[in-house]
Amino acid sequence: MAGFAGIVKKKGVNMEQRKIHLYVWLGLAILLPISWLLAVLSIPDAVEQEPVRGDIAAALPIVVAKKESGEFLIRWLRDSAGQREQVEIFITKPLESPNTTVVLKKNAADTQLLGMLSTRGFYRFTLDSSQLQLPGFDLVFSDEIKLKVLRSVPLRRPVIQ
Amino acid sequence: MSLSYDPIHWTRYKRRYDKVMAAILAAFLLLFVATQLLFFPEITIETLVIRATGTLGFLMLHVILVIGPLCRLQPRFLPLLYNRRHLGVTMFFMAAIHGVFSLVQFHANGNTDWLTSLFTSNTAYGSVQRFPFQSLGAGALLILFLMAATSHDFWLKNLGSRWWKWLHMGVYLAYALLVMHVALGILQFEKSPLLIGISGLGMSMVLGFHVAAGLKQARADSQARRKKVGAEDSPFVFACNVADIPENRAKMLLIADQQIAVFKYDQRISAVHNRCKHQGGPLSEGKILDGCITCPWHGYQYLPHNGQSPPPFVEKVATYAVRVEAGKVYVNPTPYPEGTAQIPAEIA
Amino acid sequence: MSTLEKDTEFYIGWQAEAPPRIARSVRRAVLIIVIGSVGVALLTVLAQRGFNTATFEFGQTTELEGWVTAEPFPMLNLPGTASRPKQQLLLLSPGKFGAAQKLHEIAQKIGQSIVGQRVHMRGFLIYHDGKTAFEISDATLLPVNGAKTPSIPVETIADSVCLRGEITDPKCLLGVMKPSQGKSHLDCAVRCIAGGIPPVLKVANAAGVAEYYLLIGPDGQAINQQLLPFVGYGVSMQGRLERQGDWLYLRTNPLTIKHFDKSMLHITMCH
Repeated sequence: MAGFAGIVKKKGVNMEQRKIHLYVWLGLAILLPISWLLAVLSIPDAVEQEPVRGDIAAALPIVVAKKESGEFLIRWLRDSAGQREQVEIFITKPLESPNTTVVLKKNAADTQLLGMLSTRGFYRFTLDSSQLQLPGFDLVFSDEIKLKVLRSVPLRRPVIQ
Repeated sequence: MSLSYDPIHWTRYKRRYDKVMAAILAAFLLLFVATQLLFFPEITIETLVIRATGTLGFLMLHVILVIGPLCRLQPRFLPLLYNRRHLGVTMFFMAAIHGVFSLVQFHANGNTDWLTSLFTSNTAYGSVQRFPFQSLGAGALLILFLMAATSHDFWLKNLGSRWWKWLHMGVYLAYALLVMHVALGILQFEKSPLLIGISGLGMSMVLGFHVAAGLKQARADSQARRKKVGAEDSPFVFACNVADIPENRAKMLLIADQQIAVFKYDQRISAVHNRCKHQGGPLSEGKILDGCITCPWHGYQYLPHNGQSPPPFVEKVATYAVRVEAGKVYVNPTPYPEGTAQIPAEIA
Repeated sequence: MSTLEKDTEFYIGWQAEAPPRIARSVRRAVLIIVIGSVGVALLTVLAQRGFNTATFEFGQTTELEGWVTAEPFPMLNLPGTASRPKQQLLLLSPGKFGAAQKLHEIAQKIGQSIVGQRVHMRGFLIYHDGKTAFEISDATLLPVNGAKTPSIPVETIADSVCLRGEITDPKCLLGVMKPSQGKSHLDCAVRCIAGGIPPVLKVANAAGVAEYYLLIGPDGQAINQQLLPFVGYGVSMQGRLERQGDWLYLRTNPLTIKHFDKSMLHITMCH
């Protein structure tokens, strides 16, 4: 009667498993949403702060000309006496070249290296005395690692009628 | 029911099931990748693979977990259940790709080996916010691996259907681990209410279906319970009225802890143990086809009067003595050895 | 009566065709699965935060000439000319390692250290948001012709600043991985920083305008190990802010670092 004994031993297996299934799921139905909710409630807040950088030169008060080109907002600024001039560049989107150098180009032979651009924000470059009161110039943005011109932006002094 | 084990015992149904499954999976991956590249072309290929396979695997796990209770609530969906193993094994492969890519991406090529890195880079187990979510994913992947590796009738036979079922209940633990892997992982980074909503909805669906099906089953089990009343000297217990059993179908009864499937066919009544020898499927939810009780899960068959599979098959279930008096069915809940022939009760 | 009893249809897996009502139910379920899958695919993609435009030129070799300096972190110093300013590229090794491994390997190969030397270096560029790093493949010495290793002046911007941001590794941040921050990247950032990659504090405002501070100890020493528990989360820290060439440095005592939470918004930590 081995078969007989076997059957008796196995009695109610389905029932037992079904009961365990139900208890497991009732348990999960309580524990899992609580744990999930705890996790969702602990999603961290964004950590924000205005980045701290070194001071940059104050902007000169008078706008000679301005232009928007790609990710750059460019202003050509001067003081009231016409003794100092600046190029202001505001970067609106992250730069995606390994090097972004700005050069003021009066003509092929006469250029002034303004500097290198990095993270987003304002950059102000003071023009050499030899570059004051020009009728216009080109700002050349180039990648000096890949040796390519990224963009060239002409700035012209408006003609006063 | 064969005694040799092919890698997969192909049927036309399985082929169609797999084709539909493959088409849906391919469409999902294609849509995911295309949308990703259209809206977020900056994504790296590794992140794309990790996110696509992770999302698909987790979605598949939801479908897999809902199919079971759905079929218990509405048996018309049973065909979805038959080939669920293929869905499960495919889901494991998705999870494995997700896991391996993540391991290589985040842990390989560093100053410790990848496994040490996995468990030591973040050890803030005491914090909810900083909890090392990757170890939850690794635990779930291990469970899914064991399940996928044993997802074959060879293991079912050698482990025994009871142990096999227990092992495969590990999927519930894997699911819980994965819900938390997602909640403590990508949700913490993406913070999107939409993603939180989708994952919450998925969890509610799985939990809701299982609890609803479990409660329904518990109610049905309690209705099936019969107690012995009347003469002490008779072993027979009232089961049901003959009219309660549809033709060629059964009624499940619980008498003295025995689950008994009482079948009506050809103006006769026979009773066998409710549990199929293959995977423990409920024979009472089956049907008499070609004179055989046919299990609704995988079609294993037994002759109703002796509980034996028709030759050449060798499976056998226990049988019970049955009597019919005045339109009422009585069953002796003491089982006879598996395959013992009984005289079916004639419906007068 | 159970639903099954009402149904006269019965179907088993090995049958070629399912009865019509069962087939209809299954088709309906499959349709719902398809619609659900499409919805999940679209919504999970569209709900993402998105990725930055950082670049890792893996496999695309760039050759550069410059001076290697090692303090506080190894840099390749590109010399300035009339048309280009000087530039310092943060040097890194392949994998999750700082430059030390590769510099050591090259020193073994050529029989002398290249630190303080003028070199021709091959490697892969990594760049984002105006910051550039260089993963070293190999390097050879160039004649010095009497020139000296350039010394990059240190400029103090503030003796004490309080910064709130996230510590991560600049290799991933500048292009190797996306996302390169937050919990999903945390383990990788820990591995990178433990492997000697200089730790960086990224501070960003609500608009995403960011600055990157390389973190060193008060005496300029590496504090990578002490920072590991703080990687990948909001932290607040205090220190001395300096600029050396293209890079900002925060000299900080790791003991001043705190995990950030909202309550700290109202606390003035710096004086």
